[in-house]
Amino acid sequence: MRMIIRYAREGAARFVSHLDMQRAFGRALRRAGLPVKFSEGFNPHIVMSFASPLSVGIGTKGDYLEIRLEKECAGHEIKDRLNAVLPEEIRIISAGNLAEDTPKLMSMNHSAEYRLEFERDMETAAKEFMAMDSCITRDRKGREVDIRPLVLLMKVDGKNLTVCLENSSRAALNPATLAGALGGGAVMTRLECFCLFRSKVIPMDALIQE
Amino acid sequence: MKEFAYGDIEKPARYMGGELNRAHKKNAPVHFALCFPDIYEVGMSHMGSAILYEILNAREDTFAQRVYAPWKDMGERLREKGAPLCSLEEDMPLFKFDIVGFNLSYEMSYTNVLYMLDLGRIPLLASEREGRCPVVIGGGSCVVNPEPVADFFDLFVIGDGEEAAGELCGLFAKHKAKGFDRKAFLLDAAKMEGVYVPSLYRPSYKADGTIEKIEALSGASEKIKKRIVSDLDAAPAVMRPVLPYIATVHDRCVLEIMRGCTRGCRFCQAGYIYRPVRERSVDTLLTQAREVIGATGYDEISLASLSSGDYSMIGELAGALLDTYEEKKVSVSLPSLRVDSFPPAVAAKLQHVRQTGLTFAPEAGTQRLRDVINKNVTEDDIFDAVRNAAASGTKTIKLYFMIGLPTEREEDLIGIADLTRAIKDTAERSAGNGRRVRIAITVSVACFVPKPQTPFMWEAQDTLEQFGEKTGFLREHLRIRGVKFDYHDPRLSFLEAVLARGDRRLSTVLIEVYRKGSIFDSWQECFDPKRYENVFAQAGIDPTWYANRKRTEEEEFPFSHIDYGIDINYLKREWESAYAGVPTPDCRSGCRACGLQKDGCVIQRAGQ
Repeated sequence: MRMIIRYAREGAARFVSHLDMQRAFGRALRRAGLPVKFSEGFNPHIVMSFASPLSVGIGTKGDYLEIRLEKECAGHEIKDRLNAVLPEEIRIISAGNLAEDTPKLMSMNHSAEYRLEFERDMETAAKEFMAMDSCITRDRKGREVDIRPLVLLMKVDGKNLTVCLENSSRAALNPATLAGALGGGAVMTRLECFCLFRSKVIPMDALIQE
Repeated sequence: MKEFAYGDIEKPARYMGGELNRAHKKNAPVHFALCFPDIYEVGMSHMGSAILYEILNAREDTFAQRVYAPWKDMGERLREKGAPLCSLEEDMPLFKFDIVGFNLSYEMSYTNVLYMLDLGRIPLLASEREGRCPVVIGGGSCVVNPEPVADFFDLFVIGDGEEAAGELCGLFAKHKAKGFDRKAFLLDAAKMEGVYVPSLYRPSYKADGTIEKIEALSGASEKIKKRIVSDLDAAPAVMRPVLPYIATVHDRCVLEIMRGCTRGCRFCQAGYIYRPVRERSVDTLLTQAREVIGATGYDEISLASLSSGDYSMIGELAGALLDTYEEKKVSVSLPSLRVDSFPPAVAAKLQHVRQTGLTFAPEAGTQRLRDVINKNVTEDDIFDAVRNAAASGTKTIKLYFMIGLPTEREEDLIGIADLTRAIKDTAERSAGNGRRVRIAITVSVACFVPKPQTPFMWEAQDTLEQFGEKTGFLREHLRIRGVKFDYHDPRLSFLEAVLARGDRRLSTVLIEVYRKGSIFDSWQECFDPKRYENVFAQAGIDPTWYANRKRTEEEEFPFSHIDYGIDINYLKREWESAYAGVPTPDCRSGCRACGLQKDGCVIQRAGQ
């Protein structure tokens, strides 16, 4: 049985790498004693996959992973049992069935929404950025990229920005690169992952069946 | 401190805390900083610290918090920002704690102790600490001879720390309640068994530089006797370890099945200082495994001891663990098996869950030299074990040897290569049903370091030149297909030897070398032997006098006031037996009167 889990992370958990996050979830699933499916072979591991890796330093309110269960278990039970054993800075927001014919979550990524909290007023910087046709900057690996077309949406409210960034297999913009181009120093939180499902862009949250 | 671990700091999770199973406490009168002088990933893997964390936090009067050495980038950041080193739990500056306790497991971590004290704004010298400045304490295997760091510590706990650490907190709480007086606290603490207050002892030196005498002051006892937890089965073990987010060195459920070792290998300090042997019962260990796996979700269990194959119920334990955890997909591994104590039935069972390589430590290349060091392993034992392991699917073998052992000759070095070749051949013939299977072998060579409380503590260490020649010689002889040769840096082993038998005069060298920038000396990329060399020269101290000088039987050691229960005459007899090539049998087969019997040494067996 295929299940999808939406989770949030904050505080110390923001600084956990993708690989470590996978391990943390694997251990939490074991502690919770959920009837998870294991892979075959000499080195069995929990069948689990995350929708979109989250970089070190970024919090989230809307990230997703999928698992498979050997036995039926209600979404709210998965949520409660995991929350009982997770560190308080990682929380399950909801969980439920994922239709069997849904493609793998990680293959459907389209874009992701973030909140960037700066320590200074961003009204002007945001307007200027959105008025540009292109903005060549260096990404975190030092490569030159034009990030302007990867910013799909930007809303500004004083010191805070809400942005929607391309996050597909074709191109993805790390919010840290955008924050860097805007002068740096932002606390970053992912709010939602959007996917392309049956030719429509929907929040992944809509895939959770209660 | 946490707010500075952003941006370009490597692995910020090292400084963030927030892990599962960490302690939270309010209103405990005693604040204890449990420090480990290395990075988070190393310190979080240290079992002794994990045990103390649970013991101390189980006390109503104490809140123990973890503090690790920040990696260089973070250390520099803290200096830049003028921020002190803080604990992971409450971000509390080190100088605000009541007791700051360091684990001392490795001589090369001494500069990191200074680094942490300095970043934590605590005076490096105990003599400069006053009033409510933290009481800095140390424990761990290095306190067999804590003299090179004696000036940095207010007190040491000698021997097992499980009981003494809590008692010290109780004593501190009492003193704090009536208005803390440092001197009075230290005098009271010195009355506890196993507590060594170095300021109450004054060494004097002869003209030739050796120790004249060590004078006990203010009525302190002449000898400090080590603490022994005599019933290990009843002693607290790790039950709810803090679960790290980031991968640490030993990131798994570790069961301490036994403390001590009965073998009596003459080079091995652990074999002497952790006597007597005490085993935990199978039931206790199964309970512990259940607790730890339940509290962490770990998918791997390993057994820790000096010689797990000697655990008297090893078959029962391994069988029970495998029976319980196979279906839960938790693997069980045995890390430190001795060649001759590897029951084939256990080996076969272990192969069920996860394939791992085999690690053997023949230590010396010839039977003659193995008899000298009392490594009672024959080539037949070695080949039997190799055949069994290879037949059950092992593809990699790691072999540990030492060079520079007393009486070593060229043929012993050639013996290392011959034995490696023979092991490889035997393993390849035994694997894969008649077909020859390639087995990869790593030969790891360490430079012998003479250690206190062993029969070789009077020995001279080989010089750096000798080690250089020997490793070069071995490299030539170990040019074998499929064999990888690596060796421990002799310059590190040399400093280990200096510090292992060093005295208080070395503390100025440690401070100076730290001031000039030495930290993380146990890390190859950080270690700067040249800096040590220069500081020794400036201080007018000849390090070779400590490392490469053979002591006479009459010489007083700087650590002669620290009593591990081992009779010095026993060690001398063992030293003689080494030169005579006469092995001493395992003390499970009969008491050898090493000295512990005087206090009623009891070997605690799991089956009883």
